[in-house]
Amino acid sequence: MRWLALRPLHERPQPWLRQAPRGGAGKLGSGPALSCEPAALADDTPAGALPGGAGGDPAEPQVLADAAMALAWWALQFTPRVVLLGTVVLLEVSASERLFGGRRQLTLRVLAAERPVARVRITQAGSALLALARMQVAAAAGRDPDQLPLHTLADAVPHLATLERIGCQTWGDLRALPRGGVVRRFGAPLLDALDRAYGLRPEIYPWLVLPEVFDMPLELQAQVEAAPALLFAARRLLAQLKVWLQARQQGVLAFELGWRMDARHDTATEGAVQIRTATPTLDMVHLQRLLAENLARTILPAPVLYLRLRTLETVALSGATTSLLPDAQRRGDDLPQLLERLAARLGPEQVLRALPHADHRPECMQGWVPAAAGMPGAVASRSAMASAGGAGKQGRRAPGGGRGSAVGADKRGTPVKPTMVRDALYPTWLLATPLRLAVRKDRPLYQGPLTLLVGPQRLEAAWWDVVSHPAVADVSPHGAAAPDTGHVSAQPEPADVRIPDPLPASRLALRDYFLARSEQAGLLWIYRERLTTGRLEADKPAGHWYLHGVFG
Amino acid sequence: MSQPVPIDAHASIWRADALAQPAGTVLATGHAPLDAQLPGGGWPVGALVEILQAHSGQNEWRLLLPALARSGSGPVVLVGAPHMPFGPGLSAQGLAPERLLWVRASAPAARMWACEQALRCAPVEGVLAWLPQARADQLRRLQMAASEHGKLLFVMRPVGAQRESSPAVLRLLASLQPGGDGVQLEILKRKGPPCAQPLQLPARPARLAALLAQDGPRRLRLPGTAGSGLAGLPQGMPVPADAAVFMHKAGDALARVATAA
Repeated sequence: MRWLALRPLHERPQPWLRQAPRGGAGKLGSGPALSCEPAALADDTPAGALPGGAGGDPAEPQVLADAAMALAWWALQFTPRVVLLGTVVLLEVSASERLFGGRRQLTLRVLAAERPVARVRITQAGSALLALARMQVAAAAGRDPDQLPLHTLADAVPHLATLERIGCQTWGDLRALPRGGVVRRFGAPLLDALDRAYGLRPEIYPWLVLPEVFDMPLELQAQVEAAPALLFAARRLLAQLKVWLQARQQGVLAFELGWRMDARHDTATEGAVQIRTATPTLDMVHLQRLLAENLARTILPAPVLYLRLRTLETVALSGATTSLLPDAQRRGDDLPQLLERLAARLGPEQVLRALPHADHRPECMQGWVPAAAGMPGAVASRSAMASAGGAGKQGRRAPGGGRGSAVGADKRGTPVKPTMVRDALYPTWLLATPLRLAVRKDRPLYQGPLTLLVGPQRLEAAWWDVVSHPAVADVSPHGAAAPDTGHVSAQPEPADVRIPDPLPASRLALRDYFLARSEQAGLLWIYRERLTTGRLEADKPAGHWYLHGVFG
Repeated sequence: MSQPVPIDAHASIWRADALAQPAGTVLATGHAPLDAQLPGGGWPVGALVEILQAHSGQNEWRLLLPALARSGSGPVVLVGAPHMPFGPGLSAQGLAPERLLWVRASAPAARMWACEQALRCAPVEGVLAWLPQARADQLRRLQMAASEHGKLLFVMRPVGAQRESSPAVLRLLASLQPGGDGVQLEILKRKGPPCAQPLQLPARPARLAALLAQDGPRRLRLPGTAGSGLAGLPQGMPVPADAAVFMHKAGDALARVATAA
């Protein structure tokens, strides 16, 4: 058995509050916010001693307990057998030494490789109680277990006065007493503890288990009045979240940073921001950027006293596949990270990707949806398009669909270039709302008179919207509803059952499209509303010219 | 005693009367006359290219689409596009609409920021930015980001920016020909001798040009008199099936194009 004992040392003031931001968004990995104390590195180190560190620190117990808990979480990366006794973290590392390349390497790694969450002191011994005892004494006194003072054994502390009066000062003195007499006088637990400390009996502890949900409060050392300043305190929580995620091998999908504000102000006392990511991530730098963008838009009504970080959604994370070849590693951020960062600052509705729709109306052929909400990879969107094309071939197309967006798929699933001749007539820019054109002498005007080149291309679409709409339709609801397919429904169908159109589209399109040339603006795509009887679309003016697209 | 070393032996020395060899890769523009005038024979990858034009949205797709269509499969980010990109029209010219990422930002600072973030993203293939108010130092920042991450970067600016200095590697002034049938391209800045003659590029993709050439000389009548193809159908009940139909004259032209293509 080999035990390491770690104890966090308190620093004052709190380093994460003291440290100034460096270069805008401070990186988690930078800065000496948290360091460790290389106390003992010899192969069989007796006791790590710090100058003046033996007596214990006059620190707030709550802060130390938090630091010890954070340290214990962090220590789980070295061994699953971690136990927290008071403010001391004990690690049973006999099974891990070989993995980390020996005892000395492991000790070095604990001290230096990863930054612990607090300054630590480290000792090691063959038993947990011995390591614990060595933690409490100076270096010279702890070399031999027999020389250790008795107050370092927790079970001996209630009997210290008696033991001292019979001349027992050290572990060796107590061990030299006759066992039967000691058991009768002081009870079995004292001798039991001594045996465990010398490694004569097995030590059994309740090993530390991480909680299922990360939920960590943090009391701020000073009131924080501006939301962006919360970020520097949140960095510590994020660092702890990373430890928790790494130990549980999970990635975070959503988390919430909440805060409690000063109740003396007559305002709300609590607030929170929720951060969601498209892909599970362990990248705290990215999360910190998202948090910074959200906090930058937050206004605090009162000073904040407490912070709280909790995870809302986490999923198991498999490791990333890295490449052996240097060229295969592309520098830069991932696409989801870019989308989330853009959406966090500009708003999700400002970062859009195209979603093809099967419709004849040009304004309905594509929908622009927020890209950050579940951006499919290139492969995913390709397969979706391929399946859409396949569905069209099988005849299961939406009403009127298929032709306008005839995108077939070859055997490999890559989209085939559309071969419809009419596609060549489509412009590259589309006006979101068609611009009504003035007319002079029966010729539409847009930066001068337009010359019609090709046309008309007649478009009559979305009649089904009109027919199935009970308010407009002349036909009876029975005729407009879907034909009876033998499906028996329990309730009578309401008359206005129809699939709602997800697109904000003009309902009925009766248009003649033309290609027109303008001397100034180049090639334009314009249309003319066709004259209708006016019964179906009484509100729509007929005969007007509209600019709908530009050939850029 | 020692022979003077001929200058041509140093590949790193660029003689100003010849086109330079670009340090990075280039992507062919798809326009042969333009390729012949560009150093390396194409758009420089990882460098800032400026396109100046009077009206934004007029010529950029015509210039850039052939190259973008062949630029891999990563996203193409549009920052501050003047209109809504029309996916079916772009896919007809080879650019898959799902590659587009449309960033709508109106503030100049937000556009710059979005550009820089997009350039730093690994899968992104290219960035098209409309930056009418960009300053030279901001453009230099973009140029640095593009060269660091090896991305295509095209910045569209108004004609007035011609008088300002720019860190762009390549500056083009695009304008419509008076007839409206071609794009006139003036190379304002390149690594090479000044380009005396403006280039003439076709203003339309080949299929569309073929269509127009077939139909061009014959002006169509206005639809008020021409729209008789469907006159036999009952008014008020729109044509239900096969909704988009061509009138017969245009249909003839299309059929000819289809057989020719």
